[in-house]
Amino acid sequence: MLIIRNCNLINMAGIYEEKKDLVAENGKILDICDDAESKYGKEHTVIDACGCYVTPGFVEPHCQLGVREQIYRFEGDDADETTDPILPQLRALDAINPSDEGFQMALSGGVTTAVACPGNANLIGGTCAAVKTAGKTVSELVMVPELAFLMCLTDTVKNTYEGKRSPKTRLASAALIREALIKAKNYHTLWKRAQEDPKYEPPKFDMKLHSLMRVFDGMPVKITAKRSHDITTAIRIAEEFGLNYTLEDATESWLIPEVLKKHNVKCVVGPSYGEKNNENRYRDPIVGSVLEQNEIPFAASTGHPDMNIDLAAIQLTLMYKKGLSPKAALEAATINAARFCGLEQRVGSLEPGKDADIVIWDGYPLDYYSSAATVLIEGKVVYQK
Amino acid sequence: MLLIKNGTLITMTGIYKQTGDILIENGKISRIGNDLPVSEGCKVIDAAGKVVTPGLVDAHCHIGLWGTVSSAEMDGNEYTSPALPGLRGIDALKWNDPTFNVAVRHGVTTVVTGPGSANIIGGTFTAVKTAGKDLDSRVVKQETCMKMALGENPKFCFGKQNKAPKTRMMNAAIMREQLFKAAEYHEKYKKHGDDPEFPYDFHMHSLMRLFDGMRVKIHAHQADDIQTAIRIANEFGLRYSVDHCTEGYLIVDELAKNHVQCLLGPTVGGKSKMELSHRSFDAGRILEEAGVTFGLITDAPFVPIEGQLLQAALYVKSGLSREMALKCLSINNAIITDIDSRVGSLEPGKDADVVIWDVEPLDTMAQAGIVIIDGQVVYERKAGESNVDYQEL
Repeated sequence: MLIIRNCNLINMAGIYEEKKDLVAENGKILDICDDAESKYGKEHTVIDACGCYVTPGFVEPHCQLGVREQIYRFEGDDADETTDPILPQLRALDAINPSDEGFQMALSGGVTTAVACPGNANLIGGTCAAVKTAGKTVSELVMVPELAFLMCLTDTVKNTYEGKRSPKTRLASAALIREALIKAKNYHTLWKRAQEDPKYEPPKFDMKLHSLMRVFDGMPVKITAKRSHDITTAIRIAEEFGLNYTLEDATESWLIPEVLKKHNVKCVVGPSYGEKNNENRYRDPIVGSVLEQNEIPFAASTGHPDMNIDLAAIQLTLMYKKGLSPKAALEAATINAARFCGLEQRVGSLEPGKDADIVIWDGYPLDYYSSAATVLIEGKVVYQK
Repeated sequence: MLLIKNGTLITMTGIYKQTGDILIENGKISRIGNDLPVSEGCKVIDAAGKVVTPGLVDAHCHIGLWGTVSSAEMDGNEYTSPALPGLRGIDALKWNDPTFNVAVRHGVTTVVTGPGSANIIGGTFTAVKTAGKDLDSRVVKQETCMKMALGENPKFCFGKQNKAPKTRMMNAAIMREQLFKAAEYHEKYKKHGDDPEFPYDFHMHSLMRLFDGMRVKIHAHQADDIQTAIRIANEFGLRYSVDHCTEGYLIVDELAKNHVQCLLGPTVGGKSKMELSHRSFDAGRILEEAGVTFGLITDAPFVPIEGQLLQAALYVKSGLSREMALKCLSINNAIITDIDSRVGSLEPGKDADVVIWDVEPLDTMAQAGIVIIDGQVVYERKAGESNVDYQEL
């Protein structure tokens, strides 16, 4: 049993800046109480938080952690298989290098769960994996090997294939995604029919379609779109095919909040800080306060390494500086990120039964000068400043 | 005339957080003191309780050359030949790029901007103010430094075209060859320049100015590249700075011994290539402790210009003193780019580029309240104004 006493606790589930003790056992939160040592005895391991802010470990809902590594260009870059724009059979999990420095950066930024995705160079890039950020092997890290598909409606895809093959235009980007989904739907129908009734032959095995058909069983799809017209295309396609989807990056979401609201779009926004180009021209941390004002719940993502994962809290601070409430800022990196990734049963808040992924901060989390001082994953200290 | 009264002054040259007044006349600072008299017709800004600094300077960025919304605006790297000293950043400067407005909103009043690091010799950097009705009124110095580069960028940029340089050896050889030629040209020009038959060489004519004292900005990240820069600069007696200087903190004694002036940054961001493997915010503290003269640069767009103070705050978080961090964003950047006679500090005779902050500029919640360039208020934050940076696009 582990007791973290004297926390200024923000548990993202009702407790906000209250003095509490946290109790963890077997890697899970056991209890949140006022005086754990008198309740559970003094013989346990005790960490004194000394009244510092304590939050759940951050959940990074969209990044390329371990897939596009630090330092190495060719050797460590496995994010973009730019040989075919439709590659649903790829799995980010197969590329994750747990010894990438990015994992240490994640811990130093208080990020304990990350959804590692393929890059944005393909229309359908493959599947994303949910991992914890400490561990020596991928099997130690992994939470969900194939959490969601990644699709992209961005200029990156057009630029990647320019002069080589389709898509060259947004018309073809949308058409190629639709074509893949229609084929996968037919494949899914034939496959299900053969499963249910042995008199039917299953369809001829097609690895792409065999993977992609899972979206018709409700497997989530992350659709990256930055510009507002790409966002509306993403919504249109997702609704046509009844996809269980989230909108990712969503740079221009703050320009069309009414559209997002009308369609109940779940937005994973970010990175909202960084280099500008045509697609990112409206990249601005203002996105946080605009979505909050429009009562659109959102999660925040660094898109690491687009923006470094250790800057997760800094991104929230930039949003806070532009009017986002501190509570909504912290929700974006914890419980909302967990919910939008379907991980809320395990992470995103500190509640009995959930993973003991905990950050003790050395100051107010939304301040340039604060850092994650101690980080625990499943009850074990994995990082100390 | 404009009088800024009772501000908490940080002049960068002596006064650190003392209350005082600044009198501005004809676009210049004319007096700094206490209880300066208000003459008739003089506009007064009450800065009581506010922090007053010089306008911030960015000593190395690519604003106006790199484009923001279209590849048609990308004018940073003429990678058709590795040595092009005749190029001038100012000739590609989109002086009304909206990024300049963002700079103003964040207290940056002067930027030194120019070509990228694809070429061994890329051309000259220009120093401009971030507001003003046209290019002429913004120019501080048309050509202030010559840009050179070592390390990965030139060798990858040309190597992949199967052209020289492909290695660091060739990087250095091309730089030396150009400098030998320029030194020779310079000598001949001094003797025979008036001769109408003097064989004029466009690129050498530009590069020879190094031997009249024009500064060089040498892009180098890795310790070995920094030492190559020092070696070549010493061989040719160049006035220079090492720009980026990512691994400089690992060889800080070398920097101190050779009196190398350094421009650190961009430091916010990933280790996207080998030569950034040791990128660290500790560099600021270590250079300060060793007494090295250095500035902090955004290299915008790589750290966006609105991120200049955030980057400096992260250096402070790793132990750089606040006072030095502010100098690194103003007077040091001005000194290292030869524009300190006009900008970088609050001193009588200098350009009246002044920022009034509600809280200290390195505080998390800091925002520029009033920004003055050449004595004109170019930005004033209004209560309830939109917080969007790129609204003008």
